[in-house]
Amino acid sequence: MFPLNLPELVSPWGANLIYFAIGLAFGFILESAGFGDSRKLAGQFYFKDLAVLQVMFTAIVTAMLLVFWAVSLGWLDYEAIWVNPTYLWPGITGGLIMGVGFIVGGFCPGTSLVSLATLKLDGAFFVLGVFTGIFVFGETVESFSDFYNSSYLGRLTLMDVFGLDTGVVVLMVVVMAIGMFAGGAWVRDRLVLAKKEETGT
Amino acid sequence: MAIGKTDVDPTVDRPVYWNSYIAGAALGVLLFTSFLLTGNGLGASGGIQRVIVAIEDLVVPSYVDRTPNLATLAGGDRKPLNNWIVIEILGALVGGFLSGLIHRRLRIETRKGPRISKSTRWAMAFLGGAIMGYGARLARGCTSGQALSGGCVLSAGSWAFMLSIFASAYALAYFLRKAWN
Amino acid sequence: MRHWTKWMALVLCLIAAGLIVKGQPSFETRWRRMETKYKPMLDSRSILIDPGELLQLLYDHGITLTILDVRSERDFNLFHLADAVRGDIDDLERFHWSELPSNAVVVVMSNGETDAVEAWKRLKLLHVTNAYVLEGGANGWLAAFGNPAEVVKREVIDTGGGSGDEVLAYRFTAALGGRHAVSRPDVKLEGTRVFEKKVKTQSQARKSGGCG
Repeated sequence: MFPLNLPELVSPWGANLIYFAIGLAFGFILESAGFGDSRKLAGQFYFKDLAVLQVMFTAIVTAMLLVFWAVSLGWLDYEAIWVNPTYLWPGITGGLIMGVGFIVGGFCPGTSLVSLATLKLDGAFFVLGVFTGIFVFGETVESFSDFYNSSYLGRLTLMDVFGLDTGVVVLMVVVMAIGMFAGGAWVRDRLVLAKKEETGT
Repeated sequence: MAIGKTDVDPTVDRPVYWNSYIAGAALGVLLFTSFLLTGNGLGASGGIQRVIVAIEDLVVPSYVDRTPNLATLAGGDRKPLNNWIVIEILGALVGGFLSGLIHRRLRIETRKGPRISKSTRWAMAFLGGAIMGYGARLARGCTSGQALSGGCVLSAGSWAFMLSIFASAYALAYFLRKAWN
Repeated sequence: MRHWTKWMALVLCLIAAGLIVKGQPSFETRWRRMETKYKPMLDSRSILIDPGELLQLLYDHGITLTILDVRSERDFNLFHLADAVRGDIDDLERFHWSELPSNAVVVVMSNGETDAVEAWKRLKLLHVTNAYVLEGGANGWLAAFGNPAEVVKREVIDTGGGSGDEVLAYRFTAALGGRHAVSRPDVKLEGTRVFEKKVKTQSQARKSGGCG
């Protein structure tokens, strides 16, 4: 039954090799999707390019369907996989801060690494910034550790929050993602039309 | 319209990117594979944090041992770099490089909006990175570790986090439109 | 949206809808899959510990002890062990088991053994490494350490909603909860018991992930 206990199964060395391979595929896919390019990423927030939304939510929907079907068929043990614990307010505050960082800097930490790897200078500066930000966080977190550890709700899932069956929540996420794809494309097309009228072509 | 043609920048000669839905599906399968093999999703910012703490541990080891948040990673004889996520971001760097090489996108350049100078773009990238790094540690994960990995296993906190990133980025986008368009 | 994406959207919805029909595996199904691994521990009673051993654990500072009491709220309020926490068998997920320290020992107890064993099975499926069951439950504990003059058996057994061995066999005049004399007996009483030590602490497997 999955997940495997890699260090025991293939030695710590073998496990590291697998982690490296997973990282390799991760970086390759991000770059191939165009996520090394900050303008493409930022385009999401001006409805010029919907790649961020499309890649991210297609990935979430695909992985989610695979995970919960595997759990349902008894191949994967949901209790043994990592479900990020919920620290509600630190998470929301961190998310709001990151949204600002995204518009100002044009990357998230993962995509900036890929950008750096393809020799983009803005990516390199962003990575330096991330190092600085994380360093400053490590130095200052002690001063607000109460907030950092507040609203802790443990391994809380959307099923717990809504009191719904897993399948229903999964379907809701799929429908929401499709709605966002269609809605995003609709807005983008309207903006293109408006611009054409403006320029008279 | 042909698959993949939507994202070409006609002013620059470069091969097209993968279709977003196909890239997303590939990323989803990878994410699932990661859960199957390791029980973990993907991550990035945690690995960067460990690199920083490892450097601090070299320079000021006693300070690291006295600071709880740092000591959990590198206190005493703990090795902050001996962790899956560090190996994974090394892999991601190599993977990004290989993809750039194959798709002929390896070139020293700065991607920016047409109205700002290179140095403005660099300053903004650095500042945005710092804000992003700070927020990512406050939220205990970045877009990969929280939004993607936590989102697909339906963690409530990860979804709240994801919505707040999009909300704040869209709210601010208008005010910084000159930087990107 | 382009033509093929509409078809993909439909297919994804169908796959998700199929999950509703299929449902998620019940506790019984999941237990059956793990039975070969854990059933021998139950059959050999290697996870049932004597009251004497639990008394030792109560005074052992080298471990982090959690006593999980799965009896009804009524019985729990009448009497429970010092620092015990109460939980319903079907709601054990709400505890943060994945954050137990590596020296954690969890001992489950009910009035007898039936319910505690059921709870133990659920703990194993939640990957709690060092989980044990109190042999004889609360009744066994009271029999072992209660002063016969103070702790009196009930004459007419009021089942209180329990059944089989899951009935509190003693009479309490006040709801003392964890303040009862037998909630934390004198450590010297351990000498009155002859038992085989069964608790072996293995490092609690810690899950890590996210941007760890």
